[in-house]
Amino acid sequence: MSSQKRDAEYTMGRTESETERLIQQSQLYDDVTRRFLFRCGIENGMNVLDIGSGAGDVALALADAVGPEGSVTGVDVNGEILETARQRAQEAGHENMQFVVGDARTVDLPGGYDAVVGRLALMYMGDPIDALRKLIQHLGANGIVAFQEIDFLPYNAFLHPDTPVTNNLIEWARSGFERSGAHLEMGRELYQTFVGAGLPEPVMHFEAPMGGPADWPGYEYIANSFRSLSPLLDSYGIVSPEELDVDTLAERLRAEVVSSKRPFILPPHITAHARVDG
Amino acid sequence: MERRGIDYALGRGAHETSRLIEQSRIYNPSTRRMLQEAGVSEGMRVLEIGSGAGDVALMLAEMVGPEGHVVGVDMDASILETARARVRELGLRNVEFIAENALALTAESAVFDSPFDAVAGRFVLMYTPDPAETLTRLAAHLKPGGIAAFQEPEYTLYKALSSAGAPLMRQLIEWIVSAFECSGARLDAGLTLLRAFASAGFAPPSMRFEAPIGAAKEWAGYQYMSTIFQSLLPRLERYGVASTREVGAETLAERLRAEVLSSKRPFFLPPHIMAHAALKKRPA
Repeated sequence: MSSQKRDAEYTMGRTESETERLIQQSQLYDDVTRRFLFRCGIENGMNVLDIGSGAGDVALALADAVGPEGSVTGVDVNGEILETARQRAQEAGHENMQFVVGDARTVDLPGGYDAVVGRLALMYMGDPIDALRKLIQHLGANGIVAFQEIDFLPYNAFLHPDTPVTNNLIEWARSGFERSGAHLEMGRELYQTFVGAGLPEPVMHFEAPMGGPADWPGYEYIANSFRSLSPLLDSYGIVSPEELDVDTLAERLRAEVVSSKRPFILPPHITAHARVDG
Repeated sequence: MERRGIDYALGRGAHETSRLIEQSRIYNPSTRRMLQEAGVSEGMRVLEIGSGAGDVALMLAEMVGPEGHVVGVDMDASILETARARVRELGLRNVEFIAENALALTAESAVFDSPFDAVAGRFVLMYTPDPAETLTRLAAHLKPGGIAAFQEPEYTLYKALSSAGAPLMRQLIEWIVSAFECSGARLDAGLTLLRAFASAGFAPPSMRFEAPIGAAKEWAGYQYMSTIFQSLLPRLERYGVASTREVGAETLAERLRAEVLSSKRPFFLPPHIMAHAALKKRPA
């Protein structure tokens, strides 16, 4: 098994609007995540590890799930964004959360966690099986492994003649992520990733938030996603900032959905969870 | 209203009845969550259309409790016998079924002595020629501010869900989609909910796209898929989509399991879209 495969370039960049985007993302996806955490058995009093914490949304959901008797440790390679996560943890009044800057595969942690959890995390790791094998070293006995990752494939059928703005966004995002080395089918690769890392077969679920109302927060979220993607898309020669025109994007998307009456589906996620034997 | 003929591609009979019950084991958790999020609660009067073997009606009966009431409607009088028997077995007194075309329901029907708090359905608008028209008619039976909650399949996105290196999955999805297409059912019943809710006077709906998936050796989905094909088989043959021999229903679950285990990619059961919203104002 090669662990030489390089990680993806973090396609979304590291900026303030990226932090805002991560928070919008959580408004749209948190209910998927919270239900997922419930299904996989995260409960009161557990000590859990969150991989790729970013602005801290999954960590915050975990903190609610484990309560004051438990604890949450979030890890991210980006120290700057963890400042946002720390601040939000403090605002939410959680005293049992800590954030560690580092690569979760190699960072030194006390270990013995009851669960290792991640959302949109393995998709950026060069060799997900090798990564997961390392990540589960942090687990204690009968630990839970739970990941929620993207499945971009359904967009192949979502292109429609009435939605040119949407069609372009799908093509640009696909090209950008592919070029960056990110795994756009990470969700459906979770089964082989779990089994390949020596874990039991995971229970899986497929889900996507979607919407069509004029006041849906999804348009802003998509526009902010492209604000974060824009420098990379520009440097890859996929689409220029002028053509992308990110400042008017949310409005154009809203107008297209409202007039076409074709709802917008946000990137689908696949969840997978399993419990280590012994 | 002019009605385009839509054939119920899954057929009728004991086999289809047991398929419906099996289906509900797989889709019930999503349905229940949709109904809860829509606000279905104790004491409500709920109209359910396309009841079939009664699974959604039974769930609703539990949610509205003894003070509430559920009226289930289905065109197929014989399958409603199963639904009624299940209600009797559970000793429920808050559910009744009427054999009727949901489009033909009139306010004069005996059970419509008072308007409903909610109307709900699962995999049913796909069989109506114009979901917007159907919803508009159903909305007329609701109280002001009444709720609609529907869960419909989205077959236009199903083909794109098949993984590379899984030819059997690709083939099965193509057959299913062709069968429903030939039957005249709406392939985009899920996506069309946005338009239908708007034109029937509902607020913009909350929506979600979901699919039951699995790759584990013991997953129930392989068997359920072969059950779908047993129900579809007569129509697949009649439409010339696939023959009994090609489908090989009796070995299908095993072949599917083997393909999933070797491709290591999950199998997707038909994806569905759920939408719920309240009426904006009393319909004219």
